[in-house]
Amino acid sequence: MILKDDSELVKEVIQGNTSSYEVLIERYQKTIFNMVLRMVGEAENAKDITQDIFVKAFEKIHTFKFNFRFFSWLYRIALNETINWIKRNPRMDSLENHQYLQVVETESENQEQQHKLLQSSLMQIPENYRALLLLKYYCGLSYEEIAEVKGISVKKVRSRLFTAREQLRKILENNGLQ
Amino acid sequence: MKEKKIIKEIYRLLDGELSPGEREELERYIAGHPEAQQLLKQCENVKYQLESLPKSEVVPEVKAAILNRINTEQQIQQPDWTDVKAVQDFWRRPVVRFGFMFVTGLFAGFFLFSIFKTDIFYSKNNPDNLKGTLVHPRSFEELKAADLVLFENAQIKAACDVRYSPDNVEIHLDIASDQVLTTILEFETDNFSVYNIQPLITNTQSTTLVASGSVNINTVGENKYIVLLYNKKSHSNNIYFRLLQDGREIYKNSIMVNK
Repeated sequence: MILKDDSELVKEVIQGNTSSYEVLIERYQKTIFNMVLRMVGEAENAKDITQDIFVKAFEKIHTFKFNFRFFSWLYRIALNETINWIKRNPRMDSLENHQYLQVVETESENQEQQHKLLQSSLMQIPENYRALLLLKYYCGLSYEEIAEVKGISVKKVRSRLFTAREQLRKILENNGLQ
Repeated sequence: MKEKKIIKEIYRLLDGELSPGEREELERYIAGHPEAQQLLKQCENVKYQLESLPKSEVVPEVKAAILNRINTEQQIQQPDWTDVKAVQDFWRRPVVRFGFMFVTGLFAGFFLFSIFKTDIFYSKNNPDNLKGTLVHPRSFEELKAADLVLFENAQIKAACDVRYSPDNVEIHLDIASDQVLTTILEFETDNFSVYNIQPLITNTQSTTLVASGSVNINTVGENKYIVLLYNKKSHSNNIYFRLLQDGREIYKNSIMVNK
């Protein structure tokens, strides 16, 4: 089966083919959901926000410019929706709040505790910096891709990522994860 | 080497961005400095911790919910064709046709009048004889859309609609709040500068402050403003839209102009 690239699928969606949008959802829902999950720290909210992201992307798909990459455009919508949600819903940070799904059933209690501590540490960083860390290390985007998603220069991405990493490094040190 | 510089070089090492010569120099330095070795270990740990965070599978109900919402919205937008015949019979009546033409003529006349006699309305409100879209507000729709940013909570509703041309950026602010709200538009002065700010709906409690690279508007209640900027450069640049309450930032977003 020949896999269509994102641009082809987007064109088909714009022409009215909703089943092409299902393919795009399948392709990106895991990455988007997990990034949102790590941003907000809670699975139920992450599911709702993920839905909002894909619905908004569908509503705005006719504005998509084909000189951009679709995933950059989708990530940008995802980050805007997630950060807007976070600002509307400030929360106290505590380990008990992070009810994320345990993915690997064989994950040991130690590993789970370590991941919870890391998630708690992430939640102490401002959301814009948190997003940069997740895009770079969790989602595996390059500096250029992050610059495209955020709409800023590569130089600014490097500078802000340095600040974000330093904040996390110090928090991990305080939380005993160093 | 200062600590900040070392850490920067370490992150570049971990990202694989150092040349062989730079890498060798850094590794030599680290080998001779225990504190640098500690920093390397910590920086490696940051990278490792983030990369090793597990990824969840998405339950099928999420995709189903997305498709359900999309299909629901599409159905709402579908026109109902069952009443077409009734509508056509209605429009055949002479009285209806004449009435429709009369009303259309009235609107066309008003529209033409507003185009050619705009200075009557706007020269009074704009004694400085402003040029650009503030004189012809309908042409705001003709500008290129940058973004429409919305924020809403229990006490505040704010909208920032940004459009631009090669020469101007026009920002329509629509702000409603129960308590004092500060709206800030920030930009780099190399790229934009303030041309004018036109309050459309305001009250005695609203104040505006223009500084180099920012416009600060304090409002209570319902307010509408048009902010006009010179668009100095042709490449993509950001304008930052911020909301503050009691000195605390409650919302920030960036809008890219000249996409």
